[in-house]
Amino acid sequence: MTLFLLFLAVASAATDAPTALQQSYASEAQGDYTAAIQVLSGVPRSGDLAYIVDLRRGWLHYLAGQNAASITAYARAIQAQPDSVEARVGLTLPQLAERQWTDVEHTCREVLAKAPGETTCTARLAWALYSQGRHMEAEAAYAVGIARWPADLDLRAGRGWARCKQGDLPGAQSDFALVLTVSPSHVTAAQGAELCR
Amino acid sequence: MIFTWLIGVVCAATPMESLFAAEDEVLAFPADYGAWTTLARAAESAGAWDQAMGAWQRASELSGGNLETATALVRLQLRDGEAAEAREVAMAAVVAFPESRAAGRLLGVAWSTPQTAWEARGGLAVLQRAQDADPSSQALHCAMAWSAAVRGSPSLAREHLKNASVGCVPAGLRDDDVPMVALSAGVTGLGWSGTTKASGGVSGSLVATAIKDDTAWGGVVVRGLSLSGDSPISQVDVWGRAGAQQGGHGLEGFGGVIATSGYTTAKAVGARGWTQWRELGVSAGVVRSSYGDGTVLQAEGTVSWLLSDHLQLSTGLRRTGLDGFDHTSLDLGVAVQRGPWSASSTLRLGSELRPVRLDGLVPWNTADPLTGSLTVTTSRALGKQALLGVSVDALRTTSDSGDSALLVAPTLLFTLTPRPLSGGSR
Repeated sequence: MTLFLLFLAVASAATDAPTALQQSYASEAQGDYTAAIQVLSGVPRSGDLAYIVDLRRGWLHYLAGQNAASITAYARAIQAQPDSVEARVGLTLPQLAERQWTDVEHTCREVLAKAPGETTCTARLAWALYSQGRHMEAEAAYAVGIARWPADLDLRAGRGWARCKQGDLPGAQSDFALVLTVSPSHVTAAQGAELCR
Repeated sequence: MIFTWLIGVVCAATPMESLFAAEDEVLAFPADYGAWTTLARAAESAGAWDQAMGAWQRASELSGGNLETATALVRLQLRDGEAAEAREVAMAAVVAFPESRAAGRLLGVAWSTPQTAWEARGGLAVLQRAQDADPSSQALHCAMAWSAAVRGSPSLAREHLKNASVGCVPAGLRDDDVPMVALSAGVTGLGWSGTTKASGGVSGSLVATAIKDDTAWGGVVVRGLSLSGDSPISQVDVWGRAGAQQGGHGLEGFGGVIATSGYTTAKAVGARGWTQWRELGVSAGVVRSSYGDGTVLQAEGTVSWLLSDHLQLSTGLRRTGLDGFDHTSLDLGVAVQRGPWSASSTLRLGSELRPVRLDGLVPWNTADPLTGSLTVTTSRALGKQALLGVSVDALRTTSDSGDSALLVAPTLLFTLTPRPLSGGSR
C-alpha cells in the first residue's frame, strides 16, 4: 500500500513538472520573480531536471536581486553537473553583482579551462581583473578577447581603460578613438577619451 | 554601466556628499578595489588627506600594487613633504613594472625633489635606466638634474635642466661658477695590543676640497697621530691632491709628506684613474713612497659592481713592497645604502706594506706589514649637506719574527658635502 501511494505521488509530480515550469516562465515574463521561484518548488528534484531547476532558480534569484540565494542555487547546479559551463557562466552574474571579483575570476578561469575561448567569460575575466586593480593582467585578457572578436567595442573600451590606468595614454586613446569612430555615443569610451589625456 | 564607478562619484554632489556616499560604498563592499579608489578620490576632493592616503593604501593592498595607486601615493606623499617615502614607492613601481614608461615618469616625479648626495647616488642607476628607456621624459631629466646637482655636478645638472620642463626647474643654478667646498673632520681612537705590549692613541684628520664645477677639484688632507705606550710615536702627514673628471672617467694625482717622530720624513707621490660604465666601475692606482729604509711601491686595481639600487660589491688586488712588490692583498667590499643610511665593510686578505689610503683617518704605515684587516663603517646623512659616520678598523700586523699585534681603531667622522642647488625647497 505504501509503495503504491509513493508511486502515485511521483507520477503526479512528474506530470506537474511541465506545468510548473511553464507557470514559472510566465511569472518571469510578468516580472513576478518570487512567484516564478515558488512554483518551482513543486518540481521533483531528480536527475537532469533537478539540475535545470537549480539553474533556473539561480537565474530567477539573480533577477530578484537575491544574490546570495542565486549563488547557492548555481552552486547546487554545478554540484549536480560538475562539468557544466552554463551554470558557471550563470554563477558569475550574482558574483559580479556582489563585486566578488576574485570569485568571478576563479569561475571564469574554470569556464575557460572547460571551454577555451568562451565569449562571456573571456570578457568577464578581463573585467574581474580590471576591477581588482590588476590592470596589466586585465589588458592582456582584453587583448585575448580582441584578437578573437576584433569588432567587439566593449572589449576595446575595456582595454583602453586598462591602458589608461597604467599610464599608457596613447594606447588608451587609440582604443577609445576606434570605439568612438564606430559608435560615437559609446559612453565609457567617451569618458575614457576625455579623462585619459 | 559597469564602468560607472571608474569615473568617480556623481559630479552633482558636493565633495562631502560624495565622500559620505563613497564611505557607504566601502562599507558595503570592503574588498572592492574600485570602491576604495572612489573613496580615495572623494577624500582628496574633500581635503581629507589622511583618509585619502589610507584609502589609496588599502586599494594598493587589494590590487597587489599597481601604477594607479603608486601614482596616487607618490602624489600625496610629495604633498606631505615625504619625499623619501615617495621615492621608495616609485622605486618599487619601477621594479614591478620595468617596461612601463609611466613608471619611469613616476620615478622622475618622485626624484625631482631635494635629496642628499647619498640618496642620489643610491637612486642613480635606476634613474639612468628609466631615462635610457624614455629619453624624452621631462620628469626624468628633472630628476637627473637634481641628482647631478646634489652629487656635485652642476654642469651635468644644467645639461639635464635644459631638457626638463620649466615647472621642475628648482630655481636655477645660481653661483654655479663659484667653487664648492667640502670639509671633513674626524677623530680616531687607537688601541694596540701585541704579544709584549699594549698602547693607545688618538688620530685626527681634516680634509678640505675645493670643487670647480664638476670637472676639476683640488684639496688638502692633513692628518695627525699620537700613540702612547712603550714606544710613543707622533706623526703628521700632509697631502695635496688635484683631479679632473669627464663623462664618468677621472684622474687624480696626489703627493705628500709623512713626518714621524724619530724617523726621516717620507715623501710620496701617486696617481689613480677610474672609469664608470653603467653599474660597473673600474679603478687603478700607483703610489711611490720614499722612506728612510727604502722606497715602498704600491699598485692596485679595483672593480665595483652596483648589484641593485641599494647594494654594491667590490673587489680589488693590491701589490706593495719595499723596493719591489713582495706583498699581495685582496680586497672584498660590500656597501649598502638605504635612504639617509649607508653602511660598508671591507675585508683585506693577504699582506700589504705601508699602503697609502687618503680616504682613511689613519696612515697605516706601520713598520711591520699589515697581514689582514677589516673596516666596518656606517653613516647617516644629516640634512642635505652633512654626514655623520662611525667606523671601526681592526688590523693585524706581523713582524719578521712572527709576532703579531692587533690594532683596533674606532672613528667618528663628520663631513660637510658640497652645497646643493640653491633654492632647493619646493
